[in-house]
Amino acid sequence: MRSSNLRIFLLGGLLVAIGLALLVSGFASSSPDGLNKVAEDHKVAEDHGFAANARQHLFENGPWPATPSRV
Amino acid sequence: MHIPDGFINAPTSLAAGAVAAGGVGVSLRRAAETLQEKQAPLAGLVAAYIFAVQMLNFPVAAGTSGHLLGGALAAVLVGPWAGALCVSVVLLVQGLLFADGGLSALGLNIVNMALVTAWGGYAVFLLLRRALPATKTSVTVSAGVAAGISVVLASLAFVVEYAIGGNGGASVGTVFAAMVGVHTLIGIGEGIITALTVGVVLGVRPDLVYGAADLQTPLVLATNPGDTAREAS
Repeated sequence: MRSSNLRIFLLGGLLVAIGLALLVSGFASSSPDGLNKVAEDHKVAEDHGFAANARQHLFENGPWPATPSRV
Repeated sequence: MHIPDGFINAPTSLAAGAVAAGGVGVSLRRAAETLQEKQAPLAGLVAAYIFAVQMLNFPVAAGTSGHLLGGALAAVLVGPWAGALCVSVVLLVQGLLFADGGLSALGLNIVNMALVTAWGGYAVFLLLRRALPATKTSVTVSAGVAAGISVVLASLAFVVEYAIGGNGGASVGTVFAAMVGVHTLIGIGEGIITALTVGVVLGVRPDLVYGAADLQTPLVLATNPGDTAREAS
């Protein structure tokens, strides 16, 4: 009884997580997050700025070709 | 608040990598000692949930968003050790597969968003629990407030890293003011999401919440005199 309850709880939790990821993520704000915004705002000079130092990720498009990348 | 490659110099990133590896190692050992069998699958669910909710950026001010970090939430649900591991796994997958957070900054990101939020958040949670009455509501409120503070702690950890090895031109004071300001706002969102989640789990399966283990009253077999006689007859 107890273990089947746990199974239902875990399944329910997983469904909530998948639902949030698939349905609610469309409404997510596309503005830069706190750290990125601070980085953008405090560009002291074009090439010495904070954000200008961010390099492209080595796996920008995932470790394999043509993977949809999170924005 | 995933740090991309190039924000913090290589020696600082490397040092943070060593701290992160040590922290994950300690967490692995302590989680193996303390995690109850029924909580192991919950730790997996917590990691999946944090991964999903981290995608849901909420607006906090004009042109700025924030998302759940999840360390304090994980710590309240499965304990600070397993909780730090949950977020570390999420950060590892994001850094390797989703270009979210630089590879060279993985150590920095684990320190800020997994170790500082899970351990720091849980420490604040324990302090609040001590000050408040031993009720489910106190657990929910403590979790929410601790989660909010944990985001500010994580932003402070970034400021320390920037002060040690920042590559940008902005002064440490400027970065400090900007980071703490915006992450206080993001912390409010983190607190609300954490309190809602902990509240739901406390409502459905309070026995699974690590941070509420003291509220569990042991099952007492109440017997009336004569019961055994009736059973025997």
